[in-house]
Amino acid sequence: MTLNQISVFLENRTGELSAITRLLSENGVDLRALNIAETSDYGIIRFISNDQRKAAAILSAEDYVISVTPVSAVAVPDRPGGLSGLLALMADAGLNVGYMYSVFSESAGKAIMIMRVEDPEKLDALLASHPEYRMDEFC
Amino acid sequence: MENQYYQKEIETASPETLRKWQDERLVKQVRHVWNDLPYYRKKMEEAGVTPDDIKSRDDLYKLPFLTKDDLRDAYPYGFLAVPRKDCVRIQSTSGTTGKRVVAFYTKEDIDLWEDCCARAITAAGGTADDVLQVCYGYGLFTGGAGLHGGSHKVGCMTLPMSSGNTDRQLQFMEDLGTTFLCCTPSYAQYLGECVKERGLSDRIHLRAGIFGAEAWSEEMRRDIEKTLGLKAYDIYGLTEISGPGVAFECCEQNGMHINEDHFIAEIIDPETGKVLPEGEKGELVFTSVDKAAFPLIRYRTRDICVLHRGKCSCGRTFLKMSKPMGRTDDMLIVKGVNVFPSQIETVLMELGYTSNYQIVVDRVNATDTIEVLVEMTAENFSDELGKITAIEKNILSALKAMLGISAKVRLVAPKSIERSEGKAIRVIDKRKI
Repeated sequence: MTLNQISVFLENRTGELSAITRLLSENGVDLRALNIAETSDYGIIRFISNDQRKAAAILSAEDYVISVTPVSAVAVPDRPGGLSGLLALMADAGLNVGYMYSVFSESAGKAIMIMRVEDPEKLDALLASHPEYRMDEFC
Repeated sequence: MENQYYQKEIETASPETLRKWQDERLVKQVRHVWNDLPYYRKKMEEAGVTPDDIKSRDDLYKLPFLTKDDLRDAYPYGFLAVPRKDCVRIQSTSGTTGKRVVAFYTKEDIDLWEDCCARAITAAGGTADDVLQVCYGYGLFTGGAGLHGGSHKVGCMTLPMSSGNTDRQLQFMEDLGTTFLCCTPSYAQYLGECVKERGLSDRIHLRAGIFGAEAWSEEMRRDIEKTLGLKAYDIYGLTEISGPGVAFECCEQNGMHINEDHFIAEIIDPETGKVLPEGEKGELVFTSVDKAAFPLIRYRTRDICVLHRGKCSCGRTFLKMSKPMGRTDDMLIVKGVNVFPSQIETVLMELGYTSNYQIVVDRVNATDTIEVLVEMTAENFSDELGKITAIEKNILSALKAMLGISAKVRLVAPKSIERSEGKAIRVIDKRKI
């Protein structure tokens, strides 16, 4: 399934990450997945929460630079080879993974991964015939 | 379009004729200041120069410079070079601190200043058929008075709107069918946005505009031309030399013709005061050769630009000056290279960043370092690190190409660059030399 991920520009400085997570928690936003890509000067936090619309509004109001991107949530069987099977399937279908990270909780023996692909609909279509990887509900 | 001139015989005079006028007028002017401006006579005496040493403009370099400090020192009447009964007007600079600078005009001085503005309006295509709206401020500021006078001379129907009251500006523009607009470029840009927002494009009939009194970029020009549907021309001037119209753009829109029959321009090295050859970048210096009441000799403008003499398709023979590239007041010397914040600003604007930036200069291990802090914008942000680092590299190479030295770039959070009273602090120099 496709989810809206929020990315935030943050300077690489002590307290920046703490400030943003505090801001979200004070407004009742619950983080479901979080990932950071960084250079020595700045970083991009990417996250999924229980209320992305609210999270985006709160961050914009506080002058954070954000971008909202569609990403795919997939279920990965929690056993050796679970992820490699999925990635092989995607590679065969010509789907490139820009980046990926995992969700905090797992459900029913499956790890949930967030993936950034060029064409989320194509991935959805591919997984329609592979229900073991498919996610129909998130959080 | 047919080339139009306000004073054709002057504007297209041969270089030899121009030169002759300058030589004769300068010699006369130096006698005038020697006799009538004790402040400058003292400076000449200190420099060991007398009027006899000045036989042509080749001797100009011998004369001492004047700066804004001199004008402040001599405030209020120290630079009035005619009897007060012959002075008919004063104008003043917009100085915000300390003493203002007051400029004096005789009737003839006003006349030549208005001629200069009329030349500018005509070069921008203005004729007696135009409805010309002046939204420069009227009053002590030279903007309103100068273009107003020039507009009268050309015979345009003149709308003396002064600045502000945008609703009324737009109302008159629409109702009276304004065809020619004169204001600051930032106000023109604002008017353009209003026209766009209110859907007035079909109801206004502007075809040309003269915009000056502040720095503006080519991007701004394109934006103004698009939103207001006109051709936008630059104009240069300063109260100390007369006001707007010291130099003006022609149909080529690539540099401003200096009214050389009235003003001699030089480019000097701001550090040493030495005159630089034509084509080199340096500080612009003006000598007013035929103004009577306020005749400034070798006045340092603090503006950095390049002069260029060459054939212009408009037919004018006057020297051309580039848009000022910066001010000597904010010039930085980094690794021995002159760096102007405005150059960095140009690079950032071209790459889609806002003008919120800060330059941090430091000296580490006896080597100068320059770092440019750039505020991230929503347009340039991405969830992919690769895209952001690519943009960072773009800025780096564009800065290198512009400055000739390597600068570091640091992307920072929006609104994180300090501002004092709403104005950004552009340069922090941490070097202890």
